[in-house]
Amino acid sequence: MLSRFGALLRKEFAELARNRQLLFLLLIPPLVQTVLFGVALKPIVKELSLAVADESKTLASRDLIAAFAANGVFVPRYVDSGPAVGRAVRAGHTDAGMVIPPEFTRDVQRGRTAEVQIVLDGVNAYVAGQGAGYTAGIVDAYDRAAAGATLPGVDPQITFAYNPGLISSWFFVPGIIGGLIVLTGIIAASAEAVREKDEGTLEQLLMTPASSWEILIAKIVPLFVMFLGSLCLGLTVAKLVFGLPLLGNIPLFLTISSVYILSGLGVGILIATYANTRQQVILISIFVALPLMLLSGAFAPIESMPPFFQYLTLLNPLRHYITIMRAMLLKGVGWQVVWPDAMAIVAFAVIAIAVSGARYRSQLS
Amino acid sequence: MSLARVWVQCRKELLQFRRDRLTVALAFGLPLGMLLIFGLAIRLEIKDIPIAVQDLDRTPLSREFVSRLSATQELRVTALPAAARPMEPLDAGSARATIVIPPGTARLVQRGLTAPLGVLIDSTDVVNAMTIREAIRSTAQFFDMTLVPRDEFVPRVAADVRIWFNPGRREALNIVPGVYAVVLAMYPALLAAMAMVRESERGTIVQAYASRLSAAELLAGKSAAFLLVGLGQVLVVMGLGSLIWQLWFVADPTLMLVATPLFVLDSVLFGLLVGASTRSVSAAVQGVGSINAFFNILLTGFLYPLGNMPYALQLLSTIVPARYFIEVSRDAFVRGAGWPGFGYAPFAMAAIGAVYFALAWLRLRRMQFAA
Repeated sequence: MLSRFGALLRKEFAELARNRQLLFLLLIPPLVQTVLFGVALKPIVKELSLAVADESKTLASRDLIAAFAANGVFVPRYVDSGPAVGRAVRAGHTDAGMVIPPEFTRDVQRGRTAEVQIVLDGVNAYVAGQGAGYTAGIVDAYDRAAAGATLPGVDPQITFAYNPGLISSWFFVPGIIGGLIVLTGIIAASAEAVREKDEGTLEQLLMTPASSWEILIAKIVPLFVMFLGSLCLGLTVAKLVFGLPLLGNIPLFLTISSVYILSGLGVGILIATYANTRQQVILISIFVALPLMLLSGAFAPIESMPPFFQYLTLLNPLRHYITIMRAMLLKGVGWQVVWPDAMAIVAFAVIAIAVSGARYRSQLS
Repeated sequence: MSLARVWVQCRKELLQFRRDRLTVALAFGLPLGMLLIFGLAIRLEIKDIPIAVQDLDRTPLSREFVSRLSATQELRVTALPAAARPMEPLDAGSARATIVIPPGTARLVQRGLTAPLGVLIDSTDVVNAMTIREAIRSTAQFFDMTLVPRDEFVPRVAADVRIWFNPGRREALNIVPGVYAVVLAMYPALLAAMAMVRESERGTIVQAYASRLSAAELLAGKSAAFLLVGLGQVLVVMGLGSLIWQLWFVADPTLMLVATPLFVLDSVLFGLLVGASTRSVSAAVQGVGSINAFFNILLTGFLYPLGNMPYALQLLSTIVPARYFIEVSRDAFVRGAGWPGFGYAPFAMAAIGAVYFALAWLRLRRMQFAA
């Protein structure tokens, strides 16, 4: 039996190796995408364009504008008048606008609170919210500095743990690597499992003396090896390019990753049992894989989703895998912390492979 | 170019498309699914972030501060026992930050000094970390203001902050028009690519080569067919979007009405280009899928503003049609600036489409079939 299985395995490996275009597409674009996504996804809002109408034009008003421009948070651009600011915002030419009225200097000199008007373009609610937060912080710091004497009160001393440099790629890259594995894994496994149905060579498969389990496992193994290699390659590249920390128990992490890859492949095979052609299978795979990627916490936080979707994500192996990835690689925690998510992935993998295996077998006999 | 031949090619494509029921269902189901998921589930702003507070001072002042923290929308406070290590909840993942109020805080404040608080923020999630920092800082600022008698500290400046077009800060107004762009960039391209590559995979392209159909007519016919399908997708997706999120044109709709078919055409032409350049369906789909995912989600300002990206990538985004369409789409449904603000968009998209057409035509013109 072992030699039969070995022969099948050799055949599957050989076929995979021969499909150069597919191999290339399964290895290189994910790597490139990981690097590019890591470089391009920068959520921290800064350099907001600020159209400024300074109708006061004194040292005090320029001080205020300089406070806004400090640290590159806002990028001021002078316009002639208050109405011009409004026009710029309404035309979508600027993220924010500030009008400093002529009474500004008078109020400052008389020790009264001077009002300035800030307008934010609300098309992007997230950016507008961040802009409003920055404004409040800048104005408060400005007021305290102007007051001179230190004011009493609590002063939070902030330390950032695990990622002191606030490197956004460290957050996204685990999600991207995990997401691409599940996306390409499902597509590749489903295309592989449906191949005989699509090409019409199903009879040959039925006639082989190998059992359907042997056929199935022989299909999975080359893909598994390739995706595990792709994962290691991706992590190595991420470490080289972004300095992604690889803390924690690496052998444990690779074990969990293996189970995760298997769950993705299992879903792919399950999809293949529901379709007949490669085209159908690919469309269904995309239909399944995209929500898995979106509802996983890779790009948008799970905590901000409506409660219904938050519960739904518990069924998503990618969500659990991303949690584990971030916890183990970035924080360096171990089994005591990640075991609930790990068990969820195990359960998912077992169910996926069992159900898909059973369906594949019944279709083959 | 014979319009009659183009029309025949177009009709053939549509007939072929209609026959594969599963593809038709997915051509409309997938975009809808994506719209619903993105529109309903994806939000960037976070509320109720769990943080742990270790109050070692235990005075009325410290308790007042803790209750202010609880009162913020962004934070959800749990008490951390005095014996615990501050990093514990962060390691376990049960809290995203720990605040330690050291003993003697109230005494320092009452003597008119500043009392430092220890704050540890889990910054694996960079955005969360910033939100937490701002929430804690602003709570501290407001708290400190209440400690000072009114006449002792007059703020020099007060900012009257208004958010225009979307005062309620509905994120859907930003995300859903963006989803229109992502969906319309992806699915018409996918369908067109698969149709194109199927011809060479099955060998039926030889019939097209042998006929009187020129390469340009072939492309025009296929584009017309999938443009029609794409417009159908537009109606379904935007129709549902406007119903669920009450998105309607704020001002002059003509820019959007011009930009939308142009954008769908760009998407279709891109798909035809990829389909003409690959030899298997899986390769075509992977090509369209991965290029789409990168270019249309990242280089368009869909998730995060374009200005956040490195300059080189911002330059690269100028050749992505979706970047222009997203600007037009968001503007049409929220701001309403129209032609004066974004009138350059249709011209840019038309130019890019012409380039796609030319590249695809160059590939097909040789009419060579690689067996």
